Amino acid sequence: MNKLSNKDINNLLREAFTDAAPDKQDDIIQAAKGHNTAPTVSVTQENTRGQYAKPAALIAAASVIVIGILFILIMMNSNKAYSTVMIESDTCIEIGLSRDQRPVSINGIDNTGIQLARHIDNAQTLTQAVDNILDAMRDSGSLNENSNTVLITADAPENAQELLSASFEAAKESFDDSGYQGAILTTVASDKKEVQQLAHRHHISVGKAEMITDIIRKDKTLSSALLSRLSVNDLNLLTTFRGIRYKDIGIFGVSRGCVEPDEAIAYVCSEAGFTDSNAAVTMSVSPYGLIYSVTIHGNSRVYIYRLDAQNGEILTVSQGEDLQSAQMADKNTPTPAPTEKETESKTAATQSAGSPENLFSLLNDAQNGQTPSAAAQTPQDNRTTPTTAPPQAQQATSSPASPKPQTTQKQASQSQKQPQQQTPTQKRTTPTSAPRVTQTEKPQPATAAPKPTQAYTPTEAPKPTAAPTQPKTEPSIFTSDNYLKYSGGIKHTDPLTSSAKQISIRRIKNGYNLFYDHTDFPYSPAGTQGGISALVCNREQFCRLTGSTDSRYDDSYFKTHALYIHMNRDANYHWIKSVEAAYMQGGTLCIKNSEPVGYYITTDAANPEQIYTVVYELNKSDLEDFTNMVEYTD
Amino acid sequence: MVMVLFTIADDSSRSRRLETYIKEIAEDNMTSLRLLYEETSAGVYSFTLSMLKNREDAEDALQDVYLSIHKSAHLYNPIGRPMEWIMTVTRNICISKLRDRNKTKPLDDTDKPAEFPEFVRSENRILLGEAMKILTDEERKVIILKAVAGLKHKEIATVLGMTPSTVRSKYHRAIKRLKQYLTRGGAFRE
Repeated sequence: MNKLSNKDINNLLREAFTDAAPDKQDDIIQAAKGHNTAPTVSVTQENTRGQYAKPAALIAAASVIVIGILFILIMMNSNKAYSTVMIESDTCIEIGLSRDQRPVSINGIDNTGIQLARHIDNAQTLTQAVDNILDAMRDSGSLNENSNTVLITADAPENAQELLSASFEAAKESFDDSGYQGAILTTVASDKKEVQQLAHRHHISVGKAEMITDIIRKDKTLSSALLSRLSVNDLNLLTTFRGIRYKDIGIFGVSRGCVEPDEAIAYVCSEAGFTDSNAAVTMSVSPYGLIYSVTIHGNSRVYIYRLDAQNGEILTVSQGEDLQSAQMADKNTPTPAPTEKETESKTAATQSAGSPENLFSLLNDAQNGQTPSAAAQTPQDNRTTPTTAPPQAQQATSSPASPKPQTTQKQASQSQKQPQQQTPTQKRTTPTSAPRVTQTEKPQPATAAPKPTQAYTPTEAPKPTAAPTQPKTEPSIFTSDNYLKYSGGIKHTDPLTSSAKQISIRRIKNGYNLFYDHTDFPYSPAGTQGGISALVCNREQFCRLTGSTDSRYDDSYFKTHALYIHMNRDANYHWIKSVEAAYMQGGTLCIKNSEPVGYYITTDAANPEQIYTVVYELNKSDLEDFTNMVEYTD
Repeated sequence: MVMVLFTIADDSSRSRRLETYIKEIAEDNMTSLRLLYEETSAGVYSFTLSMLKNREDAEDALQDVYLSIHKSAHLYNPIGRPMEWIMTVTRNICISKLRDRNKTKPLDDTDKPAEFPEFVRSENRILLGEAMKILTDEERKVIILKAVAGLKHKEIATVLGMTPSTVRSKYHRAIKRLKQYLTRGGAFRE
């Protein structure tokens, strides 16, 4: 059976209704002819030509020409931009503004922007212009849920901050309307000559040129030509990942990528059959976009997987002897095989060193404007392995006795010949539309490395067994006295009364989580929406529900805080919602949600257990009389 | 990206064409009225049907819509959204018809299930007619305005008086339900 696409359904509907529409043209034309809407105007002309008619006509014509020229000059002057605001995502569009901040022009800076700008409606105000541009970017795919960042650059002789502020508010409102969170970067155009030249040379905004300058200042191996090809979203992901701070750029919100770093690790580990505690990830830049390099150490070998950050596609795999572990083994020979306990403690040690094992540490840091995790701040840190395999490893890779690397068909031979090839300029040969690489050869992981049953195994929680065939409806986790859940859809009631007590609540996480085993998680059956929401009051509940072992959410944290967590997985959709209000009414915690917005997930076939999670923090002092929880939407 | 730009260009040229028709209709050009009807009647008819839930009333409303367009074409402000204007006219006429219907009929019959044209051309269309019945009224309106009339989410929001995010949500939900129904029913079988 073919897979039905939205377009198929739209086409089928359009054709069906086009055929079904009655032919009423003649009736309408007949009836319309009965109306006479066009006013009849009779004009009588008198012959007034006299002897002075010809000179008078000449004088009138000359006057018209003079007035016309004056009018054109005035118009040209009034249409001249006094200041500009540039909006940039993966394309750049400039709004020209008059002295009174009225939009007088909308022009593309790069080729795509020029094409887009032709179809953008004229606007009367700056707010409207920003809104129209963001709409056009959204319609063209430049902005979407997984590339949600815009950079606003204001260039004005005196009121740049004012323009920036108005543009920011308009962009924020536009993102609110779009149904997903956006990241908005703002800056006033730099007057530095080199930054302006960079912008001019690469057809980008001055703000983006400034971003690039900030990145190159930290990493001189990167070139402006390479970076200018990245979208603002990718640039911001890169700076966040590497812990680079901008000098003069304001940030609101968090940029999102199609594949998060921990997703890259989890995916590679699941493919290779290793635990993710042995893995580290770095981010690099290629002419085609961002690249993740995931390095896995196992059984005295090191494997380096390069993934396209846009779609998680594995581009190349290299492998070789793990010199570090070999040296360790030499020092400690004879080394017995690690016991399960030792493996666990090693896992814990790696986590405490900042392993991206759980999504929470990365996302929370990113949301707080910090680096993804303490250990991920610089490429030179402990957990980050160089993207190139050591020379010895390269030699080992070409050895016929070594396990075959896992790679795409087209690149297999290339990888075998040049296993050390990790340069960002490597050309992508696999089709970009494929969400995941097609494995032609099953990876041969280290024989001693135990194959994990799940990627995110909380150390405190009992290890789940095989995935359940039927989702549980009432797992034991929900029987705890101070832990309540609501699942199975949205409750449409409005319990708000004047006695309600407003409480403080703030979002601390929003993103995907990958679970490979959901023994304890009763996700919604396909066809329903709403997922599961829970009020988490202690660490045990937190670990068991989320699969995370993030040390920040420890017992002392839960002494003063509780977490409202919403998780959802619904066939090929994620139903994303956010909390609009939270309050106590008697003993009832009332959560008012926004209308959930469904997003189609194309990677579901590969990751059927992908869960969308939102986490909000509440103060326990607000929940003193807490007995139950209700959720509702308008 | 190029495909998307072509799509935007197509939408834009369609809007310009429709605006030209409306302008010429204001000058009493019947050929333009005929052309406008040919290009937009499917969207208008499907929307009247989803509002009035009765084929006879929908056909009457369809006629009224084009007469109203003929009468008020000179009032159209050419801002590049002719379909939004046409569908707003359609909605107003449908509301007026519903009001008249409620005056003449003591019992409100707006809750009865929607009556849809029998799509007899193929098995898929019959199934589609059935699938449309499982949608809520609002979902049906949104999907018709999007799929058949070709309106953007923002334009649908204006016509139906909703927020764009609500429209998006309803559209995704509706298309998902249709997809599930059609897949279960074996539509698009090879």
